[in-house]
Amino acid sequence: MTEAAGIEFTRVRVVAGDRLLLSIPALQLTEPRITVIGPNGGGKSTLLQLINGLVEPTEGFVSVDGHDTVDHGRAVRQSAGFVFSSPAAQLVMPTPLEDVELSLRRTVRDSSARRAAATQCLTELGIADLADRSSQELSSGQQQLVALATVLVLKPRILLLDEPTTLLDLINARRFIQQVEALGQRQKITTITATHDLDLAARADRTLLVQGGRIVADGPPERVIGTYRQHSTV
Amino acid sequence: MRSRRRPRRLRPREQVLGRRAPGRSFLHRAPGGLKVLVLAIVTAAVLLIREPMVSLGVVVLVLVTAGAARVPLRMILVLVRRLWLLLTVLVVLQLMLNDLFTTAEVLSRILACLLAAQLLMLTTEPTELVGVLRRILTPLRFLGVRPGRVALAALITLRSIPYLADTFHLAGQQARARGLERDLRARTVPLLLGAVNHARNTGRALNARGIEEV
Repeated sequence: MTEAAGIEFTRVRVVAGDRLLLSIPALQLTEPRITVIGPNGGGKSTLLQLINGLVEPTEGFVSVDGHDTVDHGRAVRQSAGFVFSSPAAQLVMPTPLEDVELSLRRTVRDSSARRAAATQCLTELGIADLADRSSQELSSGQQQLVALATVLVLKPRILLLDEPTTLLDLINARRFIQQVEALGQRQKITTITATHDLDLAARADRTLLVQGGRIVADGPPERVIGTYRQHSTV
Repeated sequence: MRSRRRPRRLRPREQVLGRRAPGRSFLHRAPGGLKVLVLAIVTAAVLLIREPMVSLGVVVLVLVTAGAARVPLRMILVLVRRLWLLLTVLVVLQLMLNDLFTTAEVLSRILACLLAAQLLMLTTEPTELVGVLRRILTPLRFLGVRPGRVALAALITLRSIPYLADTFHLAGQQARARGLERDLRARTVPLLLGAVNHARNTGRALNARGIEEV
């Protein structure tokens, strides 16, 4: 195991039953903004979930800042936040403020300090006005921003976004991306985004094309997106 | 104008739980633990005494209390409308198997318990109820019960109900769009798959956040 900063895959294979979901012989991710594109069922989600240990490699090793995701799953998940595409399933408390506080329960013992931190996080994301609304009555766009808040409040170093804007309309998707980019720069968070939105995919330092359980192309966004378009001509 | 069947009404979202009566009455402000205790005593009394007049008395008492707390009666009685089919079946069965007196006794008992519980739900925050549940379970810690975990499960259950109601409604619409409104499978399979999917997504999201209890 290396002590290097960043995310490292070594001879990783993920097998479900007798089906090979993903095979990555070697991969190092150090760029601040990375996007992952590719067809449905190609392995994008599996790749993202490997990074925070939600999926454990059948063979090989995945490490984040030198921590193995199997041995130190909890520590890895603490530094790698994850936002899913379905907004409703990510919120469990009746109000956004309570949900953000729930994230802090383990780390901040004092309840008033917890409330202050949660409120500040919602304010930073521009959704302080939603704090006491009923989570289940919020629009999908608002719910997704709250889901982002529940993750960001823990000050992760890595943010994994699995098709975060798929269920949002244009304006909410833009707002979401804007917030992620602004915070990513301000707080030096590495973001790894899986998406079908090629405009969003282009806003990155590096893009991976995952198809049929393999990384088929890897490099600057324009080139990789071009490859994807060629592969996808009907 | 051509006469035709009245158009199907658009139903508002089902809100079985999580719907509260507006207001800040004495009943809204009373501590959740006390309300649960009173409900438990009333329910136990109704179930043990088995006297239709007592049960009816409780029904009246519930309605009067609701009135005093300015809870709209409509919000309490909507429960009866929602369960009318079940209650009717019950009454018919009782009339077939027993006499009128027993039927009245059973029905009044059920109504008393249901309406009293409904009044509690309408005037208490779900989080407060979950807090009460956690306090009740705390003494069981030595048996290995983790109150925070049970409370989290209860909270997720509460949150899932409106989601499932939506999924059920959507499955019905999808079946109708395909002309399968009479097909039980077309209406239930999407609901089951949706429920499993929602459960998996919820579990993954909680796992990703490292949350095991509230």
